[in-house]
Amino acid sequence: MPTALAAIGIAALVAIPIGYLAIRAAEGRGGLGAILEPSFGWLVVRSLGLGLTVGVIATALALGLAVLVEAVDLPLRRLATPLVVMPLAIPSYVAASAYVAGLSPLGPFGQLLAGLGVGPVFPEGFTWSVFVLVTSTVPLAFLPLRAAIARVDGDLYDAARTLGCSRTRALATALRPVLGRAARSGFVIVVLYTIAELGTVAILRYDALPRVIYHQFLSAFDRAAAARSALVLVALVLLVIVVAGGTSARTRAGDRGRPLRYHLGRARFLALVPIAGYVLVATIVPLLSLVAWLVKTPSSGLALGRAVTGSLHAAAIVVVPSVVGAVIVAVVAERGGRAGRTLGRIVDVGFALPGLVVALGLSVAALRAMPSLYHGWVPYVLAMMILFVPLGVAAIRGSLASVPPSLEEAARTLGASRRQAFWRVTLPIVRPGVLAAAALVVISTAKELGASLLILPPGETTLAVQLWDAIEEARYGHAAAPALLLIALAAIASFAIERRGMKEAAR
Amino acid sequence: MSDDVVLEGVTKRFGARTVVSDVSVRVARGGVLAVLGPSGSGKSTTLRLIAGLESLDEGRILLAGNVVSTPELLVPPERRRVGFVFQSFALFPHLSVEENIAFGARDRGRLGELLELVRLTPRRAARVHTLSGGEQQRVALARALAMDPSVVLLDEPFANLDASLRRHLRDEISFALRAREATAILVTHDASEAFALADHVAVMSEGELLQHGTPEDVYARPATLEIATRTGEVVRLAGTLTARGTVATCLGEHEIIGPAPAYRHVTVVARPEQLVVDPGGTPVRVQRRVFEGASTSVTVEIDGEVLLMRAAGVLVAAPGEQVPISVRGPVLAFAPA
Amino acid sequence: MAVLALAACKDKSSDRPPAPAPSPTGSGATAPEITVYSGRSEKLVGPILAAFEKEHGVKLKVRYGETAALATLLLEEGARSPAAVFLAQDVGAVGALTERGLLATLPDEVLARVPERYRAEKKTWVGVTGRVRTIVYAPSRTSEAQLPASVLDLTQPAWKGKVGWAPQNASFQVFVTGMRKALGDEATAKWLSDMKKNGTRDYAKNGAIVQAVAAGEIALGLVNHYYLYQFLKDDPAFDAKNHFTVAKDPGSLVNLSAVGVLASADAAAAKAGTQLAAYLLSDAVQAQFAKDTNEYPLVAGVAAPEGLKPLAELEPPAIDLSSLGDLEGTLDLLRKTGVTP
Repeated sequence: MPTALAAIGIAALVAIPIGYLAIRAAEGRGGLGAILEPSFGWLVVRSLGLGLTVGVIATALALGLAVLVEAVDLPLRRLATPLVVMPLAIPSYVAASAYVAGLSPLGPFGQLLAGLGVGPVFPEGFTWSVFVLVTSTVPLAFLPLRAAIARVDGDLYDAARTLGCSRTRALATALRPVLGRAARSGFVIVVLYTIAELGTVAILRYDALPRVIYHQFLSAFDRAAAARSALVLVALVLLVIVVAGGTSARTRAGDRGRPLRYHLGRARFLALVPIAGYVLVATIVPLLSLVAWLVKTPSSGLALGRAVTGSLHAAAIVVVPSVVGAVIVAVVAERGGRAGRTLGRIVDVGFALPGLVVALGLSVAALRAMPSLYHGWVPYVLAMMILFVPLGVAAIRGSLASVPPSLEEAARTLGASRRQAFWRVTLPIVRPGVLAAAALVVISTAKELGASLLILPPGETTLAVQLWDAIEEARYGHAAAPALLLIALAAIASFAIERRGMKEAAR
Repeated sequence: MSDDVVLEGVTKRFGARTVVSDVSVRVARGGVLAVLGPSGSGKSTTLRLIAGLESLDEGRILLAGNVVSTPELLVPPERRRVGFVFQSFALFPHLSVEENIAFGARDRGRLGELLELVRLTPRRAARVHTLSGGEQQRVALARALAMDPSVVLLDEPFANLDASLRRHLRDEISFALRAREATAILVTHDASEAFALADHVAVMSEGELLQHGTPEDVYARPATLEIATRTGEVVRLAGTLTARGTVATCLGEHEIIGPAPAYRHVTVVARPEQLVVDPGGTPVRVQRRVFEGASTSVTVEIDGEVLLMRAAGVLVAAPGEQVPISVRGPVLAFAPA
Repeated sequence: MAVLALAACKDKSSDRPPAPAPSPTGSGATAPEITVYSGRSEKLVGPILAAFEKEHGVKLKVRYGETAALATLLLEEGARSPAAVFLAQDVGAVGALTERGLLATLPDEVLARVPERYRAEKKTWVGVTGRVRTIVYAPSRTSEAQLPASVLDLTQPAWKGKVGWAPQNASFQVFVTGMRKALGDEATAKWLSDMKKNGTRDYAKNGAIVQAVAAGEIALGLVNHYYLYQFLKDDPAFDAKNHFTVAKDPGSLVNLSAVGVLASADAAAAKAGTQLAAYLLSDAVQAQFAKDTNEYPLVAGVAAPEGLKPLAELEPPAIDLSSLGDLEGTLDLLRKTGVTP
C-alpha cells in the first residue's frame, strides 16, 4: 500500500542524520573509537548530570504544584493552572536570554543589584542552568501529574480517613497509585528536553554536549569532532528512551467519582505562596527583564520585520509536508496493528533528538549524497519534519481515535471506495486534529533554534536566530523584541489550540 | 433463482480459531432472516462476510445470483450494494441527519420519502449527536435503505437501546423493511426479537449453524436441547419412554414432538407456558412466585425436581402451598443431558 | 492550505544551485553570477558588494557566516563547492585552505597592490584590510597607569576575573597561533591555562566584550581594534578606549582580512572572482573600509583611519602571516588547556 510505504519512508528519515553522523565520525582522527576517550566521558557526565538534576527538581516541584492546584482547596484555583503552565510559551533559551539581559550591568535587575551594592551577577554555569531549565520544564512535568490527580476518585481519600488515616496520610494514600506513572513520564520528558537543549546551555555557558557540539561545528577544523560528539548525544538520548521504556504515556479515560479535595483551612492562602513564587521566577522576571530592555532600546524595526517574515516563510514551507507526513504516519500508526504502532514509535524518536544533531547529520548527508540540495530548503524541511512530525502525529491520533473503523466500514457499505471513505468521512472528522498539528508545527518551527542555526538556507533568518545573534553580541536591546514576539506567538497558538480542544470536548 | 443471498459452506478462521464453520443458508427475495446466537457464536462475523468487510477461507457467497466471495475473490463492500446497520450505528458525526442518509443514496429525490418512513423529517437538519438512541437507530436504517440495497444487514440493531425502546423500534423497523420489500438479515442474541422480525430463523453456536426454520418451527421444534435453550425459556424434566411412544414424567404422560429418541430415559423439555393450573393435575409445591404484571413466573417443586412455569395473570397460590398442574400439548424429548 | 502548498512548491523550485560546479562547457551566461562565501558581516561588506555588482555587472550570491564555519564548509565541499570567492576575517582560515590546495593563485597585478608581508607566500590570497589586536578598557574605571604593558601581564592576580576574551572567535585563534610562533607552544599553553585559572571570562563575540567593558562587567577585553569605533559612532561618549601593548608583544598582532578565489571555480567564475578581489583593493574601496569600519587599508597611499597610528609605525611581532594557517594545532592547544571544551 502506498500509504504504508510513505509512512516507512518518513520513519526512515530519522535514520539518515544518525547514519551520516556515524560515517563522518568514523572518518575523523581515531575513528569511531575516539568516542571512548575520557574527555567524552566527562561530557556525558556533565550532560547527564544536568538532565537528571533538572529532572528530579522539576518533577518534585511539579508534583507539589499539581497537588496544590488539583487536590487542595486553593483560592483562585481556576487561575492557578494557566499561570503555572504559562512558561511553556517561553522557550528556555528565551528565559535564559531574559535572565542574562536582566542581570547584565545595564539591565533592570543588574542595576537594581548595583544600587544595593551587590557586584555584577553573571548567570552562568551549572547552577544557573539548572535554575532556568527547571523553571522552563516544570510545566512539562506538571501537565501529566495534574491530569492524573484530577482523575483520582475523592472517595479514596474519604475511605482512607474512615479507616483511620490522618488527613495527610489519607491524601498520600489516595494519590500514590496514579503518581508513579505520571511522575515517571513527566520526569522522562524533562530529562530528554534538558539533555537535547542547545540554547540554554550555550547562553548560560555550561559545557554540556549541545554547546560543545555547536562550538566544534563552528570552530573546529573538521566536522568529524562535531559528528562524534553528536553521536554521543544521540546515544544518550536513546539510552534514556530505552531505560524509561518508551516516551508516550497512553492515558486511560476513567470514571471519576467526586473530586479529591484536601482542606487546608486557614493555611489556604499560604498555599498560594509557592505558586506565586514559581510564577514570579518563571514568567514575571523574564518578561519584566525583556520589556525593560525593549523600552530602553530604539527598536530596529527593519531587522525585526525580516525576522518575522523569515519565520513565517520558513513555517509556510515546512507546514505542508509536515502535516501530510503526520496524517500518513498517524493513520498507519493507529490502524496498522502492531507494525503500525512500532512505526509510530520510531517516528516519535525524532522528537527527542536534538535539532542541532539532526541538522548536523542532514548537512553531512546533503554534502555527500546530494550537494546541489545543500544550500536550499530541503535539508531544513527534512530536519523540521524529523523533529516535529511526531507532534503532529500525536495531535492527529487523538482525533483519529475518535473515528472508529466502523465509520469507514459504513461508508464502504454505502458505496464509497477505501480512498473515498477516508476523504469523505475520516478526514473531515479529524480536521481539528490536523489543524492543531499544523499550528504545533508552525510554532515549533518558529521557536526552534539548534537546527535553524545550522541549516537555514543562506540569507534566511528566523526570530529565534535573530534572538540568538543579538544575545551573542550582548546587544540585549535587540534581543528583547524577537524574544517577546516568540513568547506572544507561542501563547496565542496554545490558547487557540486549548479553546478548540474545549469546543470539541463540549460537542 | 429467487434467492437474494446464498451462503455455501462458508468458513472463516482468525488464526487458529474457527469463527464460522461450514455455514450454508439461503434467503429468498423479500425475506427476513434472523441469525440467533450468543456472543462469540460467529453471527456478527457471518454478517460481515456477507457485506464483504471480511474475507472467507472456504465456501462461497452469492448475492442476487452473483458470486461475491470465494477464497480467491472478494468483491469489495462498495460494489456489493449491501446496506449495513451497525450495532453502534456508525453515523457520521460531521454530517447532519439528512446528509447521513443521503451519503450513499443513488436517487436523492427519494430522500424525503425515507425521512417520512422513519419519521425524522422534523430533525432532518440536526447533527446526529443531538439525537436520542432510538432516533439514531432510525437514521442508520434510513441511510442503509437510501442506497437501494439488494439486501439489508442489521448487526444487533437494538443492543444499544433502552429496553422500553426496543419493542417500539422493533415494530418500526419491521414496518420499514416490509414497506420496502427489502431482503434483510439481522443478527441478534434475543430470541423474541428474532421471532418478531423474521420469517426465518437460523440458530448459531460456536461458529456452526445448528438449525434453520420458521420462528414457530424453531421455537416449538428445536432439534437439540441447546437450541431449545437458546430459543426460549425451558422446563426440564426427567422422563421415561413408554411402549406407546409417549413419555412419562412426574407430571404425567405426554405426547412427543418429532421422532422418539433411541433411549429409554430421556430429558423432557417443555416451555413454561405449557404448564398450566389443572384441578385434575399433579400437585406440586410452590417455591417462589414472581408477579410480573401480565404473567407470573412460578418456581415449583415436585419429587426433587424444580420447574419453572408461567401462569397468565395472577396465581393465587402462595409459596409453600400446593397447586395442581398438568402439561398442555406435546413435549420435546432429547437424549439424556 | 492550497496557498501554502503553492508557496512551498515555488520555493523549492527556485532552489537551484547558485553557480554550476566546474563544467567543461563553461557557464556561458550573459550576466555572470558567482557565489561568494563571506566571513565578514553583511552590515559591513554588503554595500560594498552591491556596488561591485552594479559597476561590473556581475551578480553576486552571497552566503554570510562565521569565517571558521565557512572555511570548514569549503573543506567539506571540496571540489563540489559552488563558491568562487572566499572573504575571510583572518589569515588563519585562508592559510588553512591554502594548505589543502583549495585556493587558486591570484594574478600578480592584484597581489602587487599590497606590501609583500600582507599577501600569501604561495600567492593564493591577498590581505584586504588590517586589524590590530588590542586591549579595550573603560577610562572611567581603569587609569592608563594601571594598564598592562603586555598581554602576558594579564595573568596577574590584579586582573583576576576582570578580563574577557572570545575563544571561539577566529581572530583570537589566529592571535594564539601568532603567540605560538613567537613564543613557542609550551609558553603559549602556560599562558592560556594561567589565564583560565585567573578567571578570564568567555564571550561569544568581540562586540559583546566591548559592551561588557563599557558596562563595567569586566575591566579589560582582548579584541580587534575596530570594534570600538562602531560603538563610538552610535555614542561618542561611549566609555571605552583601545590600549595597544608594547612593541613586538604578541598582543599587538596585526591580522588581516583576506580574499581568495577558489580553485574549484570555472574559468568565468574565477575571472569574476579576481575582479572582485581587485575591486576590494581599489583605492576607493580601501578608503571606504577605513572610513566605515575603521580598519587599516593595506594599499599604499590610502590614509589610515583617524586617530590611529599608521600601519607602518606599528610594531607587531615578527611573524610571517602566511604561516598562521596551522589552525589545527591551535585548536588542539585550546582544547588541551581547557579554554575550549
